[in-house]
Amino acid sequence: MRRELHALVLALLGGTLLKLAVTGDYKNYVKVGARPYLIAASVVVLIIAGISLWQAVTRRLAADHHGHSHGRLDVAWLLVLPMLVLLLVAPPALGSYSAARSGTALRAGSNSALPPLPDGDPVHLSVLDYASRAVFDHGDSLRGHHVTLSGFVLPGGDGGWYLTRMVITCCAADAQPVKVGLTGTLPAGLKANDWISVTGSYADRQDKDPVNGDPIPYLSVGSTEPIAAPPQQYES
Amino acid sequence: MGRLRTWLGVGTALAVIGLLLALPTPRRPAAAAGPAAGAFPIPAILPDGATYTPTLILDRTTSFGVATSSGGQRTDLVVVPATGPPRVLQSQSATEGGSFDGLGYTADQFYWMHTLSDSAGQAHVTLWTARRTGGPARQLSADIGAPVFYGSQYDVQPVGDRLYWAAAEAGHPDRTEVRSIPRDGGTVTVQVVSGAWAMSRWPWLVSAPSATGGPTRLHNLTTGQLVTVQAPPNKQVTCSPTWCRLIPDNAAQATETDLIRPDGSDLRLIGDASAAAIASDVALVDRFEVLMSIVNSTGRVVISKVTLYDIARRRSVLIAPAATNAGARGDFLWWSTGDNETLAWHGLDLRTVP
Repeated sequence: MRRELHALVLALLGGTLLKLAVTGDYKNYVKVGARPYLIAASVVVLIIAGISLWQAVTRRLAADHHGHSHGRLDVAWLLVLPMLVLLLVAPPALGSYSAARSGTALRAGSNSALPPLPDGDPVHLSVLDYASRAVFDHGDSLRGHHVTLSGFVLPGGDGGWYLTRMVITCCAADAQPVKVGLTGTLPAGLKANDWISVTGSYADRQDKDPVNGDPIPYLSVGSTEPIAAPPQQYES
Repeated sequence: MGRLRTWLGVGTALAVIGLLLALPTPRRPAAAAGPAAGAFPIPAILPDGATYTPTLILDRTTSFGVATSSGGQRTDLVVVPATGPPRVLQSQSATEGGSFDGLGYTADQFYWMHTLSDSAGQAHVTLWTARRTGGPARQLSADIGAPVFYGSQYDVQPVGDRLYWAAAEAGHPDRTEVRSIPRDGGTVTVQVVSGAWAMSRWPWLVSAPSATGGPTRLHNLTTGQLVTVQAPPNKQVTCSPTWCRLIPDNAAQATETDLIRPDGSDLRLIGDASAAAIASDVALVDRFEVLMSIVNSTGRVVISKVTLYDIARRRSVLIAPAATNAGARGDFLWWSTGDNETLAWHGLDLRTVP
């Protein structure tokens, strides 16, 4: 019975991975570029599960019918738990709770050259790109431009708000927030985790993140618009 | 039999796996839209850089309040639209040290009182008005007496074609002058009432905070009816004609805020030791009490949460988790977030709260 159990757990694992990849929910847990690998891995796991199950069943049928296994709990059951969590709970992408407990992922002191701003007025930038330019380039490439950023809001220490995106290298386990302070008039009734699109201009001001002391640049808000959380919530 | 059981077991397991995989992805419901979802922005920094503090809100697009110039040298009484420059009704320099009180409006007028002190420290109060459609401000009268201001929407109150206010009578703390003037100006009429009273919703007067001894009372100016509020002892009582707010009047009691009907019925505990009611008037729109509780006083600015106690539904609702200031008067509540250049005001029409 143990071999059948292993094969069935593998089938659940492969099926769950394949479902996440097909529905796009994998973006809550790993970076977008991982999709082909997820699909390939899930197919391989499903094939192995199918073969293992076939072999286990045929072996059992060939070897009489006295094979009842008794004994300790099979640890393979433990693998079922994360699959059940993913299928039945579907944890959302990390948001303000995690961001409030992690320092912004910018580190001052870098002098890496930044490319010119893309075309457009306003220019659509990622929060990471804006924050990098504001901190490392001292806002030089941002001055004179209107920019549009989108992210979720995180309450600041003095009653203000930070526009935030979680940035991942591989997956949610290594996620770190990038925060941009918002100065100017914001919509009333904002709550942590609300997603907004903000159009504004560079503000020559920085906060220190109370968690790690790293700089948080500011954006002077011209207009805002509430938006739905995008399918791809992480930047990378 | 064993063969069948094996296939049945494997088939069932595969069916369960298929069912699990076929379940729709759980979606979290959007956060329930609380009352604050209906909030609207109010300018905080005016186009000339002045910092604006609303004193009353007329509607979602117009508020009335005081702006302090960016250098702090000037204070303006302004009507502020949702966008665009404000309308300045009256200005004073910071060195004059005056104040604007009793702000109010009717369908066609703004009115307010302006207090200035002379070099001897003597306060001189004048009553002013301006058309809502535009034009300069005009002094209605300097025959104001010694008006008393409690930050209430009823401090200066339009009733019919007259404006009413309460004034102290010099040398007679046990008497109150109820003064009135035609809304377009004219002779001030004075009615002297025995006792220390403050204006409440017309035609009611309520015992003034300065009144000493005896229970809080309500006095109907039209019928002469006197209502003695049936409040528990050792409470500081503030009343509207329909509800009274109670807080302990000494440190020995547990600090809490209660509501009670003037006849002593329907006692409600609405706030614990950390909460303080912020509106001068009790039970706005006869339904809400606005409470502030400090959540963080260690930073540069004090952060408080603003909650609304709903008398009708017997519950408290969180309005703002991190406010830096708040006010409430008439049909509206407003609160600020941030400070300095991040200052933002938000308004809420209490009549729209479901």
